[in-house]
Amino acid sequence: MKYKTFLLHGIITFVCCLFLTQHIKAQGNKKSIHFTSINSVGLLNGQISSTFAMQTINGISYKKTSIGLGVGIDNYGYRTIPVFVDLRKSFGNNEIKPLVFADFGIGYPIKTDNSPEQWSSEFSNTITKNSFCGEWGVGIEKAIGSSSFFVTASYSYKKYAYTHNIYWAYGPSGTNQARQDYHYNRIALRMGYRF
Amino acid sequence: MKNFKSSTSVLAITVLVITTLFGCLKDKATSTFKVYKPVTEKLSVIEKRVHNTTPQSIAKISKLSVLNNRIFIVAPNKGIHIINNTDASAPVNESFIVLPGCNDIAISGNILYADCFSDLLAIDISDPSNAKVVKTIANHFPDKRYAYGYWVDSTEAIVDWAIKDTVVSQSVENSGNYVYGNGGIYYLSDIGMTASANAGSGVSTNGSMARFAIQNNYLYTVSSSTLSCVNISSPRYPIVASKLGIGWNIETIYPFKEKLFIGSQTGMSIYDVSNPTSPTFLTMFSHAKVCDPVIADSNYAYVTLHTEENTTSSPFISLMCSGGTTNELDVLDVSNIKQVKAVNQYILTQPHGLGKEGNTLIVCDGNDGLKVYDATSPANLVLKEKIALAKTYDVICLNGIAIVSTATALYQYNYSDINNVKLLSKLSF
Repeated sequence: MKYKTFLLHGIITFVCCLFLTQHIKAQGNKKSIHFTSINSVGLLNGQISSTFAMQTINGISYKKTSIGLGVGIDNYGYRTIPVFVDLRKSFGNNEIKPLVFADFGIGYPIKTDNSPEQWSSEFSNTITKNSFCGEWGVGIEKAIGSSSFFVTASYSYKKYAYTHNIYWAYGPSGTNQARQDYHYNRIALRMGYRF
Repeated sequence: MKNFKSSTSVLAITVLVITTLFGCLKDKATSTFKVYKPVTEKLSVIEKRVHNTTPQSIAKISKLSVLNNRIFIVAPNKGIHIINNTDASAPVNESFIVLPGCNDIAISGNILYADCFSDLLAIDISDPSNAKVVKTIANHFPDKRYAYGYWVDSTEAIVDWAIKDTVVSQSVENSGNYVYGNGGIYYLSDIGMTASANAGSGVSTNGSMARFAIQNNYLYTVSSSTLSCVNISSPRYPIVASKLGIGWNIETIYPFKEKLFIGSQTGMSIYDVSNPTSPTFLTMFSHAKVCDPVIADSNYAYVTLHTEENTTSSPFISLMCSGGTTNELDVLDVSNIKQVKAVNQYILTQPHGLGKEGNTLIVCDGNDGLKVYDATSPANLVLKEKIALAKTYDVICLNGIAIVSTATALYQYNYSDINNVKLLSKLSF
């Protein structure tokens, strides 16, 4: 079910990008619109650890603004696959330009050896939830031909949530459930290549 | 070049600011769940409220006790219905004793013994319409002070539960972060083996689901783990004579001659009470993890094993009994107490209480009705009649009349002619 939702969200975002492209083209700015792919690796640094992260964003660029659909791997805390919309804008016409960006989307929990479902049989009924993730930050990019290399620093937020039965907390009315919410606040340092 | 320096400076400053802020960034984890908070009340106050009131509609039938021409039906945790059964074909709902926390009773003469949460009460019922508490044995059932993670003081009882949504902070580390909230949240004579305790005139006859039994001027009670002996030779002034730990998940007690047959979820134990105050373990017959009432006579014990319905109000009981898949009637040869032998097994649907008088054995088989057997040969019981009744619970066989409790009514059948069992009355609730 989770993967179906994941796929559905991806398709919707892709279709939105496609429509936007068509719309802009219809406005007569054909030459300014082109496909863009932003790929990066980085570190997510927070209270509990520093973990490797990577993502790829693919979308369209219009002048100095781009919008795309991103997907990545986020190993901080519990592993998730973030699927998000990325908005990005650079400034100036120089070889090295400052940029700002913002992402928002949904983190899809991925089962690992460390996932709550794996802890014990008491957690076998654990249901993980797809939760919000977002990031905003600044950076610089240096043009290399028609492509560019970039470095960014950003604040990154990820929520991870699941519910499970708590057998030791049954009340008179029967089953009791607990919902666990994790709010992860991280600093993300990324570098990558855009073409 | 100037632009490069400018951009790099902006990024450097930003990184510096963000890195500085990094120290302020904290992860947060919360656990959200319902907390059941007990509403407690002083037992002394509760016990002052014990009184008779007008007959109440019987919402949920439970254990039965019969003395002379009256039937006493326990309304779990609420009180005791008194049914005047002078005419078995027309029983009358006569009165109701308000007794919170009551689940088991036994009667000797004019004194009714009942649990009231963790206390044991002696109640004078010489005038059944004006019951009066004459003696309290405090904290006789200490395990009843525990419920759903809470222990209450021996002077108090949990009378209700308040539900509160609660959010607590917890560790953000990746591990099984159990949340520990308040209250430790987290983390049978040959004459009348009538399924019943019987000791002589003036002593009530209880159903096979009973946890109280009277024998030779002693009241025996079982809690989930303890067998208690209470001297009632002076009925109004019961005195605890002894307490004995007898294992776990004890469910029923049945007295016969000098023996007590204890039914637990894992087997039937037999204790010798020839010395009434010092019950001595004799033997145990183990079975699957199921719930079981037991009755016995000189040579045979009859044990019904049943799985618990999922509809129980207690998930713990459901969990405890749910491990078993057995629904059967076991007949055991107990003539040689040192060597109990299984004689035969009869597959049933969901048998609960049972009773026997003479050679007639009657079993409440849950939704499969009431089953009347000819038990002339225990090794080869003959089903003589099956009466369609829903949710049969317990039965007392006495003087040719079977008093049967179901979820919705109290039935009485005349089985003096086993080939022609007749319905005498039905008291609907």
